[in-house]
Amino acid sequence: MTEWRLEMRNINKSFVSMQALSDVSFLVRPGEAHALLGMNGAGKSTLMKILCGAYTKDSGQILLDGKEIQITCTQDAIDHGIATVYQHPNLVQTFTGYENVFLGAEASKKHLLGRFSRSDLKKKAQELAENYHMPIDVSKSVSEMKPVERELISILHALSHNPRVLILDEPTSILTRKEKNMLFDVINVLKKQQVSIIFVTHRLDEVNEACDELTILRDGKNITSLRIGSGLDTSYIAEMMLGKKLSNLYPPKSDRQDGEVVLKADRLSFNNRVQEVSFEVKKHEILGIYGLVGAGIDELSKLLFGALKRTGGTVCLNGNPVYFRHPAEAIRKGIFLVPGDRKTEGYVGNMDIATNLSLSKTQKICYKALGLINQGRKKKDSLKLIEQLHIATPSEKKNVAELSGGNQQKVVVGKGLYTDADVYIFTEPTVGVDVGARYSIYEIMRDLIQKEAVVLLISSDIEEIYGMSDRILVLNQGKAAFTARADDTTINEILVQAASNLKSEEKGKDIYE
Amino acid sequence: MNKGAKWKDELPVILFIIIFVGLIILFSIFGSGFLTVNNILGILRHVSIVAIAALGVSFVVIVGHTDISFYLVACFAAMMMGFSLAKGLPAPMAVFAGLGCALAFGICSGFAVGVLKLPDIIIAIAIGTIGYGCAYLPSGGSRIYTNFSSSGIGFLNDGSILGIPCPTFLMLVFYIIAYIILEHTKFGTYFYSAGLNKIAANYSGIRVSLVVLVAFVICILLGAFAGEINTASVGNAEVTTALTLLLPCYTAVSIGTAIFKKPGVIGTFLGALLLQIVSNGFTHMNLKYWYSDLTTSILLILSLPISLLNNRKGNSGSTVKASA
Amino acid sequence: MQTKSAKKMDPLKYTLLILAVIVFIIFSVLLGGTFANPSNIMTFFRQGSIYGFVILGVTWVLAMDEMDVSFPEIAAFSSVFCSFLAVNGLQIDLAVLLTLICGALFGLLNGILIADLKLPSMITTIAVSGVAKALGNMIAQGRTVPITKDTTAVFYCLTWYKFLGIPVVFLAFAIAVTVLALVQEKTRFGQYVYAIGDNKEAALAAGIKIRRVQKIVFTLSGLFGSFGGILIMFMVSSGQPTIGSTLFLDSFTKILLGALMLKTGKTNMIGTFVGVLFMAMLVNGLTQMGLASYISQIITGFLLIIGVTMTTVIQRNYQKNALQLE
Repeated sequence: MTEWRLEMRNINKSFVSMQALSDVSFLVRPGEAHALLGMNGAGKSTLMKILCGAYTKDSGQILLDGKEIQITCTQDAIDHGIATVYQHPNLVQTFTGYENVFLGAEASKKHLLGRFSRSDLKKKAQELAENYHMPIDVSKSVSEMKPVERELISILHALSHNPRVLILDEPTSILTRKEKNMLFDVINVLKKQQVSIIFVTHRLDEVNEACDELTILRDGKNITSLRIGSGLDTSYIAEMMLGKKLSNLYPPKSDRQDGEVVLKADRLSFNNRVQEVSFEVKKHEILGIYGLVGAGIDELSKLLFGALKRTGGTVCLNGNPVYFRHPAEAIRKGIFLVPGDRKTEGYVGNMDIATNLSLSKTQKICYKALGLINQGRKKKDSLKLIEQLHIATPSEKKNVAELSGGNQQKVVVGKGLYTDADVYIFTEPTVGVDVGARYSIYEIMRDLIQKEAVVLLISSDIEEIYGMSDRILVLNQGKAAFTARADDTTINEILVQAASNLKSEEKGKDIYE
Repeated sequence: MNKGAKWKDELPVILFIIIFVGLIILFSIFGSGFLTVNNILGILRHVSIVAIAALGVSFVVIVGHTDISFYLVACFAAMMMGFSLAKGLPAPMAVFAGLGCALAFGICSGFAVGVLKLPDIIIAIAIGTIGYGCAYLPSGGSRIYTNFSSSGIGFLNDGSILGIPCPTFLMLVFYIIAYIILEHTKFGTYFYSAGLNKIAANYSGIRVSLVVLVAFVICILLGAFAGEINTASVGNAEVTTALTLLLPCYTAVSIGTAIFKKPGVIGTFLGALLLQIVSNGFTHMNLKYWYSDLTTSILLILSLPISLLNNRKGNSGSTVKASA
Repeated sequence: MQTKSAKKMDPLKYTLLILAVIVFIIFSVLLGGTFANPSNIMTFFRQGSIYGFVILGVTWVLAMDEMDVSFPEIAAFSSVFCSFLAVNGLQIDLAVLLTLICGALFGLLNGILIADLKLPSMITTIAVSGVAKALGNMIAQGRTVPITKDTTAVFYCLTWYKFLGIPVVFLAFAIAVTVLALVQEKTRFGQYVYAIGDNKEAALAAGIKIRRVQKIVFTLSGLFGSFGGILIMFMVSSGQPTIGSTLFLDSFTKILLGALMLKTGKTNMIGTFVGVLFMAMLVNGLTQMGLASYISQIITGFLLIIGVTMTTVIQRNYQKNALQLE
């Protein structure tokens, strides 16, 4: 028996445009909770996806209890006792909790006509939940469950396979303090049963609480692994995660004086995902809005763009109150959103670059009558944008889906530039974008505020927010938690504000429960 | 891009040309009188019914939906046309009466699918059930002959405009208009982007629900018009007049998609033409209609994987997100 | 069907049953003894059951979130093929068996094209239905194929005999539905059909062999289509190459009515059973009132639209509320 439960040695993985992992090694002991830390794009997800069978590695070895194993599909991973709880629980909505817990393992007989009884399943699921002290009604239908309950169901689903290694991917992003404690209790029980837990997260405070050891990845490389003793030097860890090359990653900030207020949101709300958030954006500035997963930043961007309909509050553009029922109205009034998920929201795949670029402002390439397209104008304008944005493509007729991530994002940005908007909202603009393209996207943002536009940068990438914004707003669980000028604050302070639990809310809860 | 990949890209076109030319050679050898001017004109006339209906189907397919109710509603429209003729309405009015009824159905299903986002298949079955039930209303299901020959409705099939047979002329007009709309106006861009990525299209400021609604209306109107031409050619209105449209229409669109890697006007026309050549050629070889039905179905099955190849390549070709 | 909480999401749950009772009462009042007598009831039970067999398989296809429009033509093909074999001297029961195998093979063809080649099910089954229709016409030369009455054939007994005054075919239908409903509710297979229909990715992640389940379901759809086609052939004593187009709409309305009103919009065996008997009753009653069957078509079409709209709207509202409660 070796010392290690799981050994991932010298793992390499590259995608079309980038080396995602280079020679990464990751070792986990039995019965330990091991935190895997890193910023966006550091390679955590890629490493874990290789482990659970969603990706295959280019090279390297995976050993489980000293024996080398091959993982080519998700089923292989499950068979080897590697279970994963994904960040977004993947459940069958119309089934009850217990049916989801045992999905794929209902009956002891393997064949399809194997009979099972729902009451037995329910009993087994309840027992399982009790074993780990999870207070959950497993007989509810998943579609009626709260996000927390769904999370617990997917944890139970993973546990039902009696895993030797359990991967928790950002498990706490939507949990309250109390629910987190519950989860940590589960982790402790599992540790006693010699299960190894891999805890993928952003949050340093939780690492301290729940984990025994941590590994930090940065830019697809191992940075360090260390045991967590009595205490953890958070600022040291943060430094290790960030690296020290902030300054040259971002174009210099301008020193122009702020102008008048362009966009103003007052007590903007969306159900309870965005709660009474107020802010204003002045001419010639970039407002950075930072929040962790589930903090409501994506919803906020869509509220401003009319893709979601607000449930409260007001928005003023250049002093006039506006309300958009459809993004078309927002675009007409001069607001453009570069959405967070560019593949499903940003560009139209299987369509050429030129058409995509002009999609939001088709009237510019049309003759007045009948909406006939001026093909010459379309070509000329798209070539101009391609050149301006340095989109690497042989022709403007190329299918956007075949471009690299960075170039795809540039197409989406170019689509926005073509609308000549006053307000640009960039949501997660550099996810999956290589360093070069990243820099040019940042330059575009700087250019925009030099002109007449304002930019809202909405991101869960703290470096980016800190490096780019003039002022910063931090959202925490749907509420505005903190605002400051970028010069007056530090990354650590922002992190703390975004990750801490809102004191007042917790107190309120304690009284009522 | 290397040479092999390029050759593969052109494969559907090559395949189509081989099948197309091969069939023509086959029919001219084994069928008597296939390659005559009269017969070719006949093909162009007869293709128009399927071609017009298939053009409508293309719109729905382009916006990413399916509609299996258009041919049932077309039966109703044709019956209403016959009914209006029997009631003494002039022929053009009768045509529009039928189209008006179809329009109502088109708006209903377009609204349900586009705006209310109800599942298109269930809506198609419900609308189709009502439409086909309504087709029985004017006459209780019996054929309507009254006034057919005297009203001049036959012009729709037998007449000629500018020396071109009327159905062929109308087909050409529809195809040219549709081609201009889809390829050379912003509305075409709207249709295509709604079909390829609804969310992104919405975020680009395109009112996708409206676009889908319009596509359904176009589909049902063109289907209804095809049904009316068919009725005019038969010389009486019967409830089953458009029931045979479903298979050839989807086959034509699917063949078109296979050739051009996206559903479109020219592709649909080529698909419809191929089907008409098959059916005409088999008739000249004294083979019964089921042989051409069989061939049509097999062509559909064959065209499907080819038409999907492009889509799949596009999807897997996009770079994988490597976020942490 | 499952838990108490499932009911909350399913406000229309017993609507179809209630509707059936109301319609029954209305017909009884309007038509008196000619409608509400046991022999008439048995008549439409028998009629309904024969047509009901056709759609048992496709019920699961829809539950799996796929589409099959080929079963009506498979039924038409089967009716012709079976009568053709019988007319050409094959022992009738053997002919039935061969036909059932052919029907299942058509279904399997659908399954392979859809599960293995990942073709879209709607268009694929349109194509396969074209093949079945063409082959049926080819065998029958476009005409009906009359068969000689053979009272010893198993399917003849199934179609025509009664047991204690109840048509055997209705008993068989009820038994088939019971067995299938048990499979649906009590076995892994049934569970997987619905899991795939709801969330294919989750099913895949749980290690379910999706393609195998899909192929089985499509094969069953072909098999039952064929089974029903053979029953229809025995009922009318001839193979009918054209029954496909009439079966198509009726069949889907029955399934969808049953689905919208019995299990959160999911097609299911019990719903199909109720839908079949409801439609048979409606047609029977309307015909006795002197109204043509197409009136029942229009009525059910509207019921469908109302049903699907209400189910969807109520479910969306419910989910919205659930989100707000977070």
